[in-house]
Formats: sequence, C-alpha cells, structure tokens
Amino acid sequence: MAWTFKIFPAIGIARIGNHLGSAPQDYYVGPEIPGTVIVPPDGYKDSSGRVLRQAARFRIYGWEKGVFMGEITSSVADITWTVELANTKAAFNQFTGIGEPTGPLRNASVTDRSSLMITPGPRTIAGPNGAAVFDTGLFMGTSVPLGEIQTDSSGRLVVLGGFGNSGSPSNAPLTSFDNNDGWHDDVSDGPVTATVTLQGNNPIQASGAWVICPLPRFAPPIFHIISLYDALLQVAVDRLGYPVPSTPSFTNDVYPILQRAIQYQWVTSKIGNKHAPLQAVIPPPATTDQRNMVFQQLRDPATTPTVDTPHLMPAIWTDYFAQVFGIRGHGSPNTGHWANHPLTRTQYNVMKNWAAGNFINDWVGPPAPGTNITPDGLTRAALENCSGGPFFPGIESSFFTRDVYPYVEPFRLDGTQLEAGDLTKQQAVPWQTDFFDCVFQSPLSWWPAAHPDDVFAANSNNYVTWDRGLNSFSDMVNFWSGLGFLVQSGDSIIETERNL
Amino acid sequence: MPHLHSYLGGTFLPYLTQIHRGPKMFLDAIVAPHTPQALVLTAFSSFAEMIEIRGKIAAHPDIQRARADRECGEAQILITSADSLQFHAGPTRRRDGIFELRAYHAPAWRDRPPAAVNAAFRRAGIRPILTASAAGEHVPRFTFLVAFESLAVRQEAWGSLEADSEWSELEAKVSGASIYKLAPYSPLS
Repeated sequence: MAWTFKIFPAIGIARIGNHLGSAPQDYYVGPEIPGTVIVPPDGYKDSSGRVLRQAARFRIYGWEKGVFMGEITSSVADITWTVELANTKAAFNQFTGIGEPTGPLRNASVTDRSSLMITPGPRTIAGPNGAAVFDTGLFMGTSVPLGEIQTDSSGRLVVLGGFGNSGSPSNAPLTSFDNNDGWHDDVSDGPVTATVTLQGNNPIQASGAWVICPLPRFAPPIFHIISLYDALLQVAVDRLGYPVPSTPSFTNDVYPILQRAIQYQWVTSKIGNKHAPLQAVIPPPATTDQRNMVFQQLRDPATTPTVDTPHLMPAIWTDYFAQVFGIRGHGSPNTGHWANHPLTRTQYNVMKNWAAGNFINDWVGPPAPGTNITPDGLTRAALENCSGGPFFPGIESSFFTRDVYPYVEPFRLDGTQLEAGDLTKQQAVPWQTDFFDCVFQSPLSWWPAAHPDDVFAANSNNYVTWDRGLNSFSDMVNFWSGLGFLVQSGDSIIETERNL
Repeated sequence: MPHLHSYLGGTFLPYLTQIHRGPKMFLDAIVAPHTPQALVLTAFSSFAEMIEIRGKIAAHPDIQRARADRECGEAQILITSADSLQFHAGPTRRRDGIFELRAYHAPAWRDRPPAAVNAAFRRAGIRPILTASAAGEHVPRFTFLVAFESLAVRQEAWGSLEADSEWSELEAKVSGASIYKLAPYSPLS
C-alpha cells in the first residue's frame, strides 16, 4: 500500500512584522481558504503600534495508491520538518528590468560574496510543539535574524518571517528604489521539506514546498487584479499543459476580475468611480454592447509589451517599464508613454469569451468563501494575496518565479533546482525603497493592492494619500509600521490602525 | 471539535437513546478528506423508521439549538443486512485501535459483494463490522467499516489483499477511505 505525501500550500506566505513575540497570540495565520480575509481579533498591530507577523501554516496531505486520504497529523505519523530561509539580495545582480540579461553585481566591490548573504542554514523540528529560530545569519558581520519555525499541537508547521529590520552596517546612503549597496533587509525565502513516518511504514519524503517571507499586506480586502495565483496558473497552462475550462463560469472566472477592478476604487483615486460601469454588467448576462465596452478596455497580452495602446486596462505599469521609459541602460529617458500590464492570457480569454456571450451564467449572487480547508485551496489562498505582476521588480517575488524557475506540478517549484533566497534575491534591497517609490506614476499605478495610492480614512468621504507623512526612502525604512491597514467597514473599505 | 463532541455525546446521544434502540456508533476522524470530522453510524430497520426518528430528532429544541451552531453536516444512507452488523458492545467493546470506512466502486459486483470478496478479506485478515451498499446511486458502490488493531496492522492487511490474485480478479477500485478512532462516548464499537 504505497503512500505519497505532499506539503500544502505549495508556496506559503509568512509576512514580516515588527512585533517581537512568537507565542500564538503574537501572530496570526494567513488565509487558508480562498476568498477569505483574515482580520486578527485585536487588529494587525499590538498596543504599541507594532505590526504582527503573518504566519504561514503548512500541512501534510496523504494519498494511498492514488486515493486522496486527507491531512496527516502527528496523531497518525511522525513528521519531521526542515526549513531553510535565506536572504541573498545583496550578493545578487542589480535589478535592471526584465527581458534583458541580469545586470552587474550588487556590492560589486565586495570580494567575500558570502558576507553579503544572510544564510542561517536549515532548521529541523520534529513532532508537535517544536520550535527553532533562524538567528545565526550575518550581513557584513552584523546579525540579521530571519524568523523562526514552530510546530503546533497537531504537528503542522508554522513559519514566521523577519521583523522588518533593514540597515546598513557601513551607513551607506539610500540612492535608488531597487539597488542600494551596503544595505540589507530581513525578508527571505526557502524550501520547506518533511519526512513522514506513518505508523507501520518506513519514512517517506513528502513532496516539498516553498515559503516566502515578504513585506506585510496592508490592504487585505483588496485583491490584485493579477495575483501570483493567476500568474502561476498561466505558467501551469503554458509549461505543464494544465487544462482550464474553455467556457468560463461567470461566478468563478469573470466576476472575480470585475470585482477586483471595482475594488481598486478603495486604493487609488485615479479609479474613483470610473469603474462604476462595471457594476452594470453584474448580474449577467448584460448586453453585448455592455460586455464589449468592458472588454475593449483590456490590453491584449499578445501585444508587444513595450507598445502603447488605447486599451489602458488594467491601469498598472508594464513589466517592461525600463524599456518603455528608457532607463537602466534601456535607451534614453523617454517619458510620455503608458504601456500597461495585461491580464494573463487565461484571464484575457475568460473576458474575451464572456464578451462574446460564451460563458456559463451560474450567477446566484457574489460567491461566499468556502468553509473547508483543502490542499489546493491552501495554495490558492496564499498566492491570490500576492502580486502576479508587474515584476518591476515586484512585491513578494520576482519574474524568475514566473518566467524562469522550474515546476514539478502546478504551483509546486522544483526545489532540487533552487536555493534558499532565490525567490526574493532580485527584489529591491531594502524592500522599503521600492515600496516607497511604487506609488501612482502618471498615467498608471504600480501595485495599489499592495501599496495603496489613496485611501479613505474612517468617517471621511475624501481620499487621502495612504503613505502621507513618509517623504523619503529613509522614512519608509524607519516608519513603515506606522502605515495604516485597510479593513472592510460596512460597504466601504477604510484605513485603520495608522500611527504615524 | 470539542464543541461537536460535547453536542454528540451530551445532547444528541442521550436523546437518540431515548427514542431509538438500534445500534449507534460514534467515530472521530484521524485521516479523512475533510477534518475535523465526526462520523455517527445509526442503524434502522426500515426507511419509515429512519424518517420517524430523524423527524423526532430534528424537532427537539435542544438539538435545534445545538445544530444552529454547527457549521455543516451531511448524511448518507447505506443499505445493509442485519447479519453484516458485527458491532461490539459491553465488555467486548473495542476500546483501542482504529476504524476504516472504505468505499469501493465495483460495477461487476452488481447488487452485493460476491462471496469471493469475503473470502479474500478473510485471507488478508480483514473482518468488516459493516458491509453495505450506497442507496440511490446508479453505479454500484460498496462501503465497508473495518476495525484494525493499529495503522501498522491495517497497512499489512490491505497490502496482503492487494497481493491476492483472486482479489485482483474482482475488479474493485477504491473510491474513498477515511480512518477513525472511537469516540469515548460511543456505545458500540
């Protein structure tokens, strides 16, 4: 009776925070069911205004001779987890944009490249209620803790990331949004593996997962128009032949795209009420003219990415910003362009079919999140809360994750081909500089679901700039945790817990 | 889950015992497609009796209150025969070990498992305490509840069955399986 085991989510997200505790009340577990928004009982910050970390919880699921059996916990098996976290940003190449060979090295004058890599090495824990910390990593001789791992009472793995500490032991200045020599941050990523010994069986290695420990998610109710789930679904379609339905469901496929676009009104004044016409196509079927009017706004993913088109939606910048704007060695500065980032080809085809009337009208109202935790749902819930583009260089992970790295099955990276730190090494160092810079840049936004442009404060009908009061890269490094979190309040989404 | 067991053992079972004398078994999932999960097995002599008892349960105010707090629940009707019920009660009650609810898709078996199935099970050391077919399904699906001393014994038993050439000829395919332990308040095992 052959068993196989897999770890889910295939990619988990553990977000950093500067609240230092690691007891269960000191953090919250990220979304585990698609469509859910986690609001900690006492908010996203502690009483001192420090941001709680969002943990990633990993579970083992078992199949016996191909039959799905369910979650495997410590009640039936001995489970040994091994996790490695690393931050290798400072030793990697400068970010120069995608579509071109990688740039020159960051910190090129440093000959001891290992001194730039925060690599505490793997940690292993077995059984329930275990714990280990990643506290031995160094950057230029300075200690940089990256977080810790725990097991809960059922033997599930809980990963906690870093504390939002970015710094420069040499007091180097912050000069650019992406490449700052002499600097480090404490985001990280790495492989998650497990050995499962079911009672009466020999130890079996579970199919491995990966964890990313990126910056906090300040706008949990706002989903990215192109999430990392969407981007990696397209990878699965293109590289693994993963099938998607030829006829989309309005409720499951079309509505989420429309709804995300509508929700952007809460994070950028540039949208404001301009997406009100989208309300007119809900509920379906709407008229052909109404559907076409929406579809015609969308950029075709087959269009050369650097070309300006009149199809301005989604209103977010392209991956190829460097080429369009003539920066980073890509020609001369060339402002006045607006090449936007398209939906994935699968998303675009959903909208194209819908516009043509080729969709299943299964509408009975907005879909409620499920109630059961499932293996695939764990992965989707983690990735739908991450940005799937533009990758310039991106929020949680880089274009390597979409365009380069190998997958053994949909959403599951081939860990044998990767090293800890690979998913975040191309991101800005420190992350705060890119996060400071990624505001609305006329005529498009960057990642308003990650970094809102404009928000509504409580009891106000007027937009205010979300990062008001932060005026420099250094301000973002020092005061990022004072930024507000967005929460649902009745029919509105408002800013709360701001302490700047 | 403690709330669910409190309801099942403290509210549901006492009332069910008052109105129904048939077999009752309560199990707690340790490996199942959806967990946490509890399984309640109740046997009735007829559809009419089942509907009558279920109506009484649904009308009981304490149960209505408790069910209002439950997230979800689902029921499946299985058809069996009295001689297939091999439950233990009293001093012979199985207190340790595990129970597996295992379903087979087996069109070739038609209405009931052929005698060769029980023979193959016996050779592998598998002794179902319940054998049943799913009611109302147009493709034959058969469900067995099997008690094992441990997961290791279970592994060995199914391994022996898989290696049995006569079993292979019976063309049965596992369509689902869940593993349970006995709830402490279960009257039968």
